[in-house]
Amino acid sequence: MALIKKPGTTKGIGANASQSDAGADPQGTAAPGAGARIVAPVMQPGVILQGRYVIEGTLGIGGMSVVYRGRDLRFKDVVRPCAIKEMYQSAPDSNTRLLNLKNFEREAGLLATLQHPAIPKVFDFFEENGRVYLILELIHGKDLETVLSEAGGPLPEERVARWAVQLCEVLAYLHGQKPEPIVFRDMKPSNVMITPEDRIVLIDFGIARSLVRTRGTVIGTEGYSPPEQYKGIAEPQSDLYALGATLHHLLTASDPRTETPFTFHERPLRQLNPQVSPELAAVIEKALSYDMKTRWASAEEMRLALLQTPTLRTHSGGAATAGKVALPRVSSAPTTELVWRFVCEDEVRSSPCVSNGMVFVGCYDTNLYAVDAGRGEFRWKYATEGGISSSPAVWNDIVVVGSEDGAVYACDIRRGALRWTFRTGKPVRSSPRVLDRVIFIGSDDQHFYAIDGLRGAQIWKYRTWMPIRSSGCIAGESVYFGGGDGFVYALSIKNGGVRWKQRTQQPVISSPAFAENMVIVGSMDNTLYALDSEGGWPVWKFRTNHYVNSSPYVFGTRVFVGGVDGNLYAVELKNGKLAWKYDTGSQITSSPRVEQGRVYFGAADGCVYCLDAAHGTLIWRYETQGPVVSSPAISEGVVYIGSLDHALYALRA
Amino acid sequence: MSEHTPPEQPDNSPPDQSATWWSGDDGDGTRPLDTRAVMAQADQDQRPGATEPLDDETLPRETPPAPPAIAAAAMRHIGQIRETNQDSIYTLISSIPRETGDAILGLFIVADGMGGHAGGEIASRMAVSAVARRIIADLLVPAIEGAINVSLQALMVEAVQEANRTIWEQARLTGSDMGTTCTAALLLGRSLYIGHVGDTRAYLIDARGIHQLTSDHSAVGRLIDMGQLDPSEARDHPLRSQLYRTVGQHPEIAVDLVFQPIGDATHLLLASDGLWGCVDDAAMLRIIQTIDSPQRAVRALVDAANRAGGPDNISAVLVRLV
Repeated sequence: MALIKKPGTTKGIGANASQSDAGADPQGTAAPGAGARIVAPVMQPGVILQGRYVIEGTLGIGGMSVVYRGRDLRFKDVVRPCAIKEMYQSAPDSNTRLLNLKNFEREAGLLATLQHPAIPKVFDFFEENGRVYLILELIHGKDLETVLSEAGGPLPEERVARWAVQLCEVLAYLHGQKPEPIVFRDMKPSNVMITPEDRIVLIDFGIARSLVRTRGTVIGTEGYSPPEQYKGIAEPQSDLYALGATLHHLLTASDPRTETPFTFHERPLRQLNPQVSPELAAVIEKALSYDMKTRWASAEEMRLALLQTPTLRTHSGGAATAGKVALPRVSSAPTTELVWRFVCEDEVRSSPCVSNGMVFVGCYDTNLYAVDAGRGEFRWKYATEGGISSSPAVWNDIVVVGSEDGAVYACDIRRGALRWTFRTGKPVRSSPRVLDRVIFIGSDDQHFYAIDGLRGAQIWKYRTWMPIRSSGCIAGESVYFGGGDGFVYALSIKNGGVRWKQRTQQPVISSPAFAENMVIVGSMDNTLYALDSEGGWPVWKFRTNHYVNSSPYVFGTRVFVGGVDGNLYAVELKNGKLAWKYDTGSQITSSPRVEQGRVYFGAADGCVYCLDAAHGTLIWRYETQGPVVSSPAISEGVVYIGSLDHALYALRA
Repeated sequence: MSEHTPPEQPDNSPPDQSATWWSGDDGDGTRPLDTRAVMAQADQDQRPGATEPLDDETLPRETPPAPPAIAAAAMRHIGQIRETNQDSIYTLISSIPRETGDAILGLFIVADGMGGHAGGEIASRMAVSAVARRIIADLLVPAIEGAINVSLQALMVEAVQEANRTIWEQARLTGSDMGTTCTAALLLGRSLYIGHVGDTRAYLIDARGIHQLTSDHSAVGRLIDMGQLDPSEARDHPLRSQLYRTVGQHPEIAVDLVFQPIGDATHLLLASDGLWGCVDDAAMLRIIQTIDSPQRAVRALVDAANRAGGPDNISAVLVRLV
């Protein structure tokens, strides 16, 4: 590549020296990406150059020039202000110095040949005391960077659109120069002045140049510059990209210099500022195409497109009343097909488990039910001595569940014959988890148990200080669960030895999930935690507005969890940032399941919800007759879930 | 074993083979469980407290995995061309007491400053001290007292953001254009939390090779990621060191956060571009894998960069994890 090789990797030096910022706010030049810079020697007010131009103050300091406010003394009766641009050399090597001088001379020569209301006039060019000076028309007003920072937020569309049209005009003028177009190369807010009449003027032609189709070395300003300028290529379309980046910045107040370069398509205008019209957003986004060929063909073409956007169309033509029409809200959501409904004698809080063509579910009527998954026909039931809110688990040919009577029951999956029971001291509301032949379950008697699944014998137990309603999560050599004492525990599956415990501020009823070396669990302190599975330390926390009793479910790169505050949250697994949320308007304690890109869960409003997992939009909603705290099981295109209306539902997924 | 096993998916392995992990048998796993003895013991053993194991003989108390024999060496060198050293480095290794077993806490920071009139030195020093101070106050002190409840990702991000604010404000006061990169790696237990802005890199080295954990915040780095520039072209790109994100040059910044369990990694390396720009990944890997002592290895890395011309300041922190 014909790029200048500089000795070493001096951060910024040299590369910056080719950017100058005439008249710009010095703060603007100290933006990220600006590197080491030697502070310029500044002339004091009163200094007179050529016996004619007096320095009155400093306007700005750029990478290789200082711009002063000055006055031309030759006009004795009137005050004729001017801008005095002084070039200075900060680069250490002579090659760069020579290049800088050439650039400065080029800028002077270029400006002298141009005549446009949006381009400052050049009055004089001379050398004095070994320094080079350019005398320019003084532009009153503020540069766009200052305007933007004073506004403290996005600027109004109409004003930006009008500036955009003017900027297209001046770019069209530059690009139309003969014999070769001039490419400005450094379009950005700090290089655009806004006069008191709201007219735009381009400043700083330091790196603009006639388009000679050889590769140059100058990129402009990071964040605004198009990708091809990094390869030394600058075409008229390159200015359109930078114009698009400038307009994007003005309309969103999101500074492209601090964003990852070339990511405008990942940050759509209307996502950052929904008030921008889709038409204007489309014009700007086309200018921001990564590929030069898919941008506007010319500044003129872009200008014409801008004139068709709503704010300009209304004001110029006066015909269209481009009122913004909000999309009608979907009021009656589609529902889904009921496959079957199986009615028990009390509330179904337990979550179904599907295995071997059967659905197993516990009920508050004390029974563990086995129902045919296809038709919803009763197969068998096993009566315990208390209500069942625990959710059954299947291991080999037994189904295991806890009961409020304090026991854990194992029944034969075929006929429901009891294989064994394991008694704890208090109700068992936690649900069994099985690994190999060991069953892990918590009890209100404050213990967490490991039980031999063949015989129902205790292998070990671990004592906490409050009832355990959370269910275990087995990963690696550990089982993780939450306690009513607010701790999240990690125990060795071998012997129940505590690996770590981590305190949350309130009881933990939610059951953990494991992913990417993190244990993810909700707490009644309103927070969803991701804990380092090695030590229990919080990797990240996600705050909601109420308890998190729903159990998180990890799918792809996201964690899905319900909140008692009514929202179903999709949170990025990596950093705990919200991807989307869906407000049901009623409490969610049901735990979501994701299948085929769809999230299923129940809510206290009696509905079973199906959302698009990518965006959180509603696909369908099915209304039962009672709150749904049960969590869905999905198998072969059917969603199984219980309701407090005493029924178990099978719904088309 | 790292997957969460839903209850409806029983493990398929035959029970008599898989029982070894809990029964305490190392061999065939066929030794039957003495259920009655267990039940008798459980019935009679009503003491509150911790776990009551099945049998002291067959279930010896678990020996926790040995803590990493962690050792770190850090070095910064002015290089062959520059007249000032604008890099700053920081290392801390501490063992923290825990009810359930002590853990290692390590903090390693490299900041590579930029800016005229000593600005780079000031900025990088301020970054290192602001980040270290925040982590010591919000993590190390609570850790010594046995209660880590801060979100570690948020802590690392906020520590770097705080450094950014401090430098930005100082720069405004003095009219300086100073800024710095900042890559801060926190090792807690067996996981790394890395807050990162700029082009100082963090690498993890294991038996399979050297893996870059951070991405450079330079447009050139991004063009490489996008496949628009070849990494070999980029090495000589005049704008390789032009960063679009730095600490101290903007009132607000986004901070990258990397969460990385160390697994079977042997080393962590933090390297300023004065090192990685001169010594390629393969050469760094060779040095780290062949020289056992972190002190000597880190010196060899710096020597290699100097032999390649040493055009920039060279900083490296090498942490041996095993």
